[in-house]
Amino acid sequence: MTRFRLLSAAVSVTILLWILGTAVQAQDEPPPPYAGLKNPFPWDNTSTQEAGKELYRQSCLGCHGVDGSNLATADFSAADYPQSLQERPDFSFWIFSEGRLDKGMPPYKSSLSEEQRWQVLTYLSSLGVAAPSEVTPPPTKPPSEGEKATLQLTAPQQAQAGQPLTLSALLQDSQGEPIGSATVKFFIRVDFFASGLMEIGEAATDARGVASFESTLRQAGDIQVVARYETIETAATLTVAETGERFYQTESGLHLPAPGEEVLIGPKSALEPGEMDKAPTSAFRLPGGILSWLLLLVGAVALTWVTYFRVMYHVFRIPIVSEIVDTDTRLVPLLGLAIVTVLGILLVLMFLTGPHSYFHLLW
Amino acid sequence: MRARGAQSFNERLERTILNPVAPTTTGYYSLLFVLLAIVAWGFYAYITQLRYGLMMTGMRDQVMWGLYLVNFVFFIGIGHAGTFISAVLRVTHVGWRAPVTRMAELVTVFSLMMGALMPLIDMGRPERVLNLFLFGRFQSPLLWDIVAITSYFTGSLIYLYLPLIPDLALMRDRLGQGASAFKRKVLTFLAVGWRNTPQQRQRLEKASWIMAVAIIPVMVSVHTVVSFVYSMLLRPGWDSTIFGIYFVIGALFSGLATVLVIMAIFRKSFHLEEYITERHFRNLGYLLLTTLFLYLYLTISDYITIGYKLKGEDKHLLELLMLGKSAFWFWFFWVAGIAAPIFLILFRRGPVIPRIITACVLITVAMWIKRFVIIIPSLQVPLMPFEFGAYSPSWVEWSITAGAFAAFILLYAIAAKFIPIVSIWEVTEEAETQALAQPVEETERV
Repeated sequence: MTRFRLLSAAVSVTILLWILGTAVQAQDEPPPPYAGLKNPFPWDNTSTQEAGKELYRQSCLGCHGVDGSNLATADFSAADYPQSLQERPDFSFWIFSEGRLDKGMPPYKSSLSEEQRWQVLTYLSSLGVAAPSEVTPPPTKPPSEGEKATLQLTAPQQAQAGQPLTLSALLQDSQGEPIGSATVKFFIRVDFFASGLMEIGEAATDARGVASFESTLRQAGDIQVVARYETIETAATLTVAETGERFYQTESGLHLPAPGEEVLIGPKSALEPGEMDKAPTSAFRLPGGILSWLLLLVGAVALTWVTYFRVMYHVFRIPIVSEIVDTDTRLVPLLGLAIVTVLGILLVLMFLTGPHSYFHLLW
Repeated sequence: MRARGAQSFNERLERTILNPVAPTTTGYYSLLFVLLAIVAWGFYAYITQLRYGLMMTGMRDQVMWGLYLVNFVFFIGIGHAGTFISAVLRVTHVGWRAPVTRMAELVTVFSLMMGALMPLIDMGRPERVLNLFLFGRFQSPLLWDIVAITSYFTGSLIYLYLPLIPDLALMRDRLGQGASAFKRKVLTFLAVGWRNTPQQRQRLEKASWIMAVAIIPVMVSVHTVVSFVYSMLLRPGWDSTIFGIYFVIGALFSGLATVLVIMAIFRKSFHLEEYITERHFRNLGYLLLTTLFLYLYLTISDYITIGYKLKGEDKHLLELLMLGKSAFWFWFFWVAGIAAPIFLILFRRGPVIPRIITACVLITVAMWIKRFVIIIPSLQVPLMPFEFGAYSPSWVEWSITAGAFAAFILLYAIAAKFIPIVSIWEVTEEAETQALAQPVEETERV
């Protein structure tokens, strides 16, 4: 009989491990609640695509590139990409929302709403349009020696920190003819212990000699922008307005799968960081829903104090009630029971409540 | 004067143990006076610190934890031996622990009081501890500290109180006519109507067992959580995974030494030679030796894994500890805290008790210094390539340290006057259990 037990235990463990392994391996199927989701917007809706394009520039451009072709493993500009996206939108939405940390893709479910994420995906489906056949540019005259080309820089009149803006540089030779396919570098002057030019990128001039560079500046104030082609430089000043937006969301900690949505019971003010010099409001919080891991810790503490309560109750039952005449000998145990209850509840509450303003950073 | 021979074991026990509780000698009063004076001086030092700020201490930007945290770890540490002797030895049915349980439990309660006070004293604005209650986050080791120490303190108080109930009932019953009504009332309240009926004994026995089992994990968790205050940080020397068990073993080690010293003091002054025998010292001495070797193992393990790899800041730390400013104290710990006690306990030449007590005094001092060596040099190693930090405790810190130790001894001395220092009930129970186990009843001692 024991041998049978051992065998069945071994089989159960093996099956369990296999299930776990498959669960880990099966990263290609979006789990609920992502499974089966569909795009609420029509894929060819231009206004949705425009909205998605704005969001893409802010959040995705840095890694995926202007046309989505920077990363080979997620090439949005490939000819077959729109079809695969539209066939399995739930998969892309899942990756977009939860991220794929082993591949370097951060999760966006906290920073972009569902609507915003679908807008981005709608925009992505428009990127995979087959690239138009290469039009060979007309042969351009290289600048002859001794003749200087001119560079003109145009910056937008109004700009806001965190919003994309376009800088255009017009490159012309000494005759006023545009120079195409030339690389123009763009810089901004920064003051970081020393003043200097910081390169923000480069763009190639098109057939009309115009290099368009899109950038999202994150600091506000009067910023000097410089464009440079080989040895020719030109500058312009840009006034960038402040914005109340927060640009960086730091992620910390391991993102273990949560059994459920977090439970938060508290005032509205607990959801925002407080004003300066004011302490944040505390709220009751269970990370990961009702089956929160925090309950293990809380359970251990509660168990200790429940035990103390049990013990004090035993002490409470020691005095023989019929013998109590003038001094109530149950006073001390009653006091003990009261203190144990109050302290126990207080300590458990200390775990379960806390200020929310830090919660987005840690678990 | 103790009467021997014809009187039964129990009568002698009561007389000897309750004897110190009644009259008070001038020697006692002068001891209290001296201790009170030191505590008052420590209090004055604290008022000065409150008034002028933490500038009055030696703590600065780099070394921002000093003597107060050393005392914190030390006091919380010595509390563990109390629980070990009363709870662990009870759960493992070690009978000879019975005479020393009360002393051990008192050590736990009073040392926890002093220990828990230390972080508050360390704060320049002590009222801000309320923030931990109002805005505490579960991610904070300080919050874990509060939960663990509160749980341990409450548990220890309950565990001290339980075997005290029959003793208080005994005192209540032995009160003469001349006793004040207030005293009678207090004793009646605290003795919770104990009449030594079988049901009451059963209930108390059950409660004691539950507490004994429950308080052991709390004991382990407390010093682990205290160690987390250090090991959750990235400082050289603190960034260690074994700090939890390291601190717990260190606590048992230093705590046993403290309890042994206290045992020797009370044995002499209260004439308890019949109840606290050489056997107790020898057995506890072996336990002490066991924890010493465990502590030695963990210390070596910690330093060797740092020393083998010698990351940049760890190299600075080890140079500081072994060759630099802290070298004297570091090697003092090894000689006085490890080597000397091994010789004193293992080489059994000469009478047992003086050897063991010498070892224990050395261990207590050396473990205080070891806590200093763990905390301060790690803070002196700079985080950026600047100058090393420096720390020199000021008179305020020394006074408050002295005041804390004096307060501990004072509380203990006062408690020894009010409650029996040996648990009469437990000793009687143990004697009865032994008498039942043996065919010959032990009534006389030659």
